[in-house]
Amino acid sequence: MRTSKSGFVPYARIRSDQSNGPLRQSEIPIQHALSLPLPTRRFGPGFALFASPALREPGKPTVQSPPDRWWVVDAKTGHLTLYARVASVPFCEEPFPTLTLPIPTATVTELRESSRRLNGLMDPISVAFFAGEPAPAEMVGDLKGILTTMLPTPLLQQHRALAQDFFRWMEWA
Amino acid sequence: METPYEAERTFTEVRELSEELERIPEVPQSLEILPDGTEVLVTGEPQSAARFGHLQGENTFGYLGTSGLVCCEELLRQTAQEFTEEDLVRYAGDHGLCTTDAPPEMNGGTTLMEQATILSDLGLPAQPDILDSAEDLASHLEAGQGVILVVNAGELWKDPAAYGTGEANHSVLTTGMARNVETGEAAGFYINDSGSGKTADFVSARDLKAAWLDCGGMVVTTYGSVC
Repeated sequence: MRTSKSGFVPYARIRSDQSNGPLRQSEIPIQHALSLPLPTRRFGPGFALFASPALREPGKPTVQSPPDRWWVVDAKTGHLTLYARVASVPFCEEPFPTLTLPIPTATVTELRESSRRLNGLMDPISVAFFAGEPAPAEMVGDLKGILTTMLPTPLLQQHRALAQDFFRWMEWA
Repeated sequence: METPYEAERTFTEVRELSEELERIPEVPQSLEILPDGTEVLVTGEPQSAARFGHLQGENTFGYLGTSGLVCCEELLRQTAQEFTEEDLVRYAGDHGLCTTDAPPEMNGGTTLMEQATILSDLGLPAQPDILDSAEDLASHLEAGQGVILVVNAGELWKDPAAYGTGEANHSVLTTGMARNVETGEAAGFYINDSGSGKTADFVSARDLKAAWLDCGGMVVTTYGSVC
């Protein structure tokens, strides 16, 4: 069974499905940078993602183009709700520039730990968001901290544009 | 009572099995000592396969996102087919099997399915797959199959700038594996990495778990042997 007691697919499962599932294997180039899946109610309870062409070289900052595709999966089933190329269906009106991302101050081990903590936090937070209820402020504060660790500011802006309703809810919550 | 026909069929099956066993190539193996003193049985010829490795970007298109295409090129060259990265980029671009619409330095990216299609089209049938353990990977290599691994470059290079959100974002080619002689466990794997330019690079099973298995375990494997 894919869903948890909350009736939603666990966030860790959403992430792993998007990281190596059929869509990734057949549509998203391996070298593209994947966003974090973010909760949204844009098409009903779901998780939205985007992917961007990127250039990585050892010891150098990653250079990332604007997102060129985005998609949404149903939070209750994990099935694809929408998949679009940004050139055909943009997910926001503002254009994004090509970014030379700042090198994270966190180590790989710290980033991995943040990623693990994100999986644990996102389940109760997304359930509250989907229900339109507030989440404990401490929990939301922890999530903001993790997002800030994992996402350089320019990328955080792209994530915010992807799931505006979720970020607005976080501010309210 | 067994009829003569059934006896003949059994004999035919045994003969076919015998012929099939004869066709299974012998995968080279050698005893080696790792820098930490561990005695290992190495399957494959990573030092020999190192001559096919090179930094990605050896093409006139200016495409630098070609780790998957370079893995395909190396596998084809291992089977004595003369291909260059330029050939692979041209073929993939002409057939819609790599990205061509991003800035040039970010083009050349491939999906798992596209890597398998390119190899199959060029004479080395392959398929995308998801493996769930180092032993699973080892069994493919011990059968002589070619295996492209999809890894997180940040984990592999110990470089936070290449970590992204922790998903797989880079392809490398496995060229051998080392099995601990004492315990029988996979001690590590040898890779050619066109991102770093390292060849016959030994990656411990633990490090490869973090860079590959924990990031989805995606691979492209050839159906047949590349030995």
